[in-house]
Amino acid sequence: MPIRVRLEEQMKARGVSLTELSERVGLTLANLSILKTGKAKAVRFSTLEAICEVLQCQPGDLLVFEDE
Amino acid sequence: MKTKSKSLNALKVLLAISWWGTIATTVLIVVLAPLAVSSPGDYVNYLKGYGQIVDSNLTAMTREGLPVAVEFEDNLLVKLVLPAEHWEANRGLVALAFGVFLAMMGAVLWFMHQLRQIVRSVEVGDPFISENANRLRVMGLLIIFGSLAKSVSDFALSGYADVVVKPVGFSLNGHLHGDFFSLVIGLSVLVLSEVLRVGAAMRQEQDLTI
Repeated sequence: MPIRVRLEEQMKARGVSLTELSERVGLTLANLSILKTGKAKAVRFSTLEAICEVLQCQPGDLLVFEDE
Repeated sequence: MKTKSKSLNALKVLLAISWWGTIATTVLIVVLAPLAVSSPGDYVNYLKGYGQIVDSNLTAMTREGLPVAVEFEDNLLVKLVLPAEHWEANRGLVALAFGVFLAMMGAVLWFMHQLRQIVRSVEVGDPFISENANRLRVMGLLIIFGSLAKSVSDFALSGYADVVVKPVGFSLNGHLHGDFFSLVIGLSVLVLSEVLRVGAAMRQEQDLTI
């Protein structure tokens, strides 16, 4: 998929683990894992907002378009 | 919720009875077939053909005593009981009929297997999957092709009956008649399979929305 989720990079840069992010964002580990591995088909604005708030980043830092 | 599980259980029981009943019948016939071929019994010594009665002495009256004309419509199913000697001389045909029977039972079992798998997925609580769409498609195609195969085999059997016997008072015709109702049901099942396929894709998309 041309849209890539850069959640892992952002988490690493801020030293946040998946479990911690899951607790602070209020998403299950399974769903966060789907998002991290790029298997998600869509992301809700509310999810994006919560992740950006916790990681202190912009939506553009999490999602990038990569031409195949 | 309790009603739902009761109806599901009833369906499961009915399907299990049909499934094992069909298998038992097939096995029984496979075991008995060699005996039947060597000595044709009542169950193999007849031919079925589609005929039309052209010279009938049958009459009827209304309750008031008025005469009623008795006519028979085209494609009347006629059962012709042939002497055992005929089958003794045509064992190849009996074997062919046996092969067709086995293929038919195979198709019936395949159909029922799809149904059982669908019921299993309902039991697990996850019936909206693309596998079930494929199962419904197989069932729809089996209904359509089964109906067409039956029409063709009836046509062939009627033709064979016309070659074997010399009908008096009726005629054996070779009309190919399809089962329109089965075709409509088969097409409906195919349409439902496509609906389920789209539904399964939508559900997957919904599931993968984080």
